[in-house]
Amino acid sequence: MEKRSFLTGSPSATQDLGKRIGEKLGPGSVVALIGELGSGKTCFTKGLCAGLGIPKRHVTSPSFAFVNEYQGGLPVLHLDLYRIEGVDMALELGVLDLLRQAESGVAIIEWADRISALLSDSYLAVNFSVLSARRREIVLSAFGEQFRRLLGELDGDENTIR
Amino acid sequence: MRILSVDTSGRFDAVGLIDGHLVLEDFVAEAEGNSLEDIILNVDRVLTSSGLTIADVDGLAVGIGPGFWTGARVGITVGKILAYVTNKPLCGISSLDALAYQARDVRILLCPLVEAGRGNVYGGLYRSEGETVAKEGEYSAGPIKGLLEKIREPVLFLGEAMELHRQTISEELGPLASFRDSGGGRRGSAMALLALSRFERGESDDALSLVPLYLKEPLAQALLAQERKRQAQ
Repeated sequence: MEKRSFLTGSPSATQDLGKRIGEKLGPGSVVALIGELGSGKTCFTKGLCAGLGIPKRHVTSPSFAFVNEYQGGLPVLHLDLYRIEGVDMALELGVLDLLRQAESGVAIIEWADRISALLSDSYLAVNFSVLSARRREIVLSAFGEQFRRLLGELDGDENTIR
Repeated sequence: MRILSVDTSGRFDAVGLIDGHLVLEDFVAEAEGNSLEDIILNVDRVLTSSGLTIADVDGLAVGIGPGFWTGARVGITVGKILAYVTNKPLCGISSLDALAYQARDVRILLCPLVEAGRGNVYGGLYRSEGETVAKEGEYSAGPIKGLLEKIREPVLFLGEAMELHRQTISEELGPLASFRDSGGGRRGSAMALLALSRFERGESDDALSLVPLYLKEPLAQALLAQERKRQAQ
């Protein structure tokens, strides 16, 4: 597994990082977002979607609806598993079906740590840490070759950790 | 007795129509994208091509899985609605039972397989018995190897998940394993015929309380065990 760490100083910087990654996502991509409430997951998702050609105003947090569908260059499923308490509950909601449906597009999963048992071996994990009111540390971890390559292609003046 | 069957719990959406033991229609289409939205269109297509309407149907069969959870739920809901509006009896049929039933002419152990996700399968073991099949033991959900450990005799594998695991099955069971080319997999008429035999025995399911066959506990356990293995690596 390869990791890269980025520091962002504002929500728009977090969104920009998301956009740079979104531009590189191909069919079958799974992005697993992990971090506390308010750590930047939805903000980052707006960026990812912008990179995938979906207007930011279409992207809202599906905490209550549980899943949003967007149509960009690829179909995008945006899941929010905040209310999911375990694998049993995720299965009941049909998360495996949704992930299968997303195999031809992109799946973006907030609170993905709650369903790690349902993820395949290929995904990009994004961990958010709150450093201050505006500053965030965002650690990207690549599982599988597709995302190791993606991390390698990302440029920027970030700290790189392995 | 005319029976209409609807199954959207698997990789193929199936609609079947029988009149007694005579198969009138077997519609199968690959389930992809938003094909669940076509479920009523497919039902209509099958009825129309037989020159019938829903009012001519005497009973309904619906696939309850195991399989894709969302598909099973949509299919069951449609089955319930049709049962309510026509005031006709409804029968929920397991996808594994129906796959085994399609090979009821084979005299060795039968093992239908349905994808459960992340390399796991739903499975069951059956033997033909007269004109139908009888299940041996319980349904299972988990890695294919767990199911194969129980098999020590010639066995015929069936179903759309068979192809995904053909290599593992051959390695584990060698010459004991044979495979039936699924050729599009499930047939709706098999579900309708299984429902017919239940209706003839005076049985049916309560349309209000019928739920999918999830096999949630064994599948969740299998997924969690896989995750522990992955974390340990």
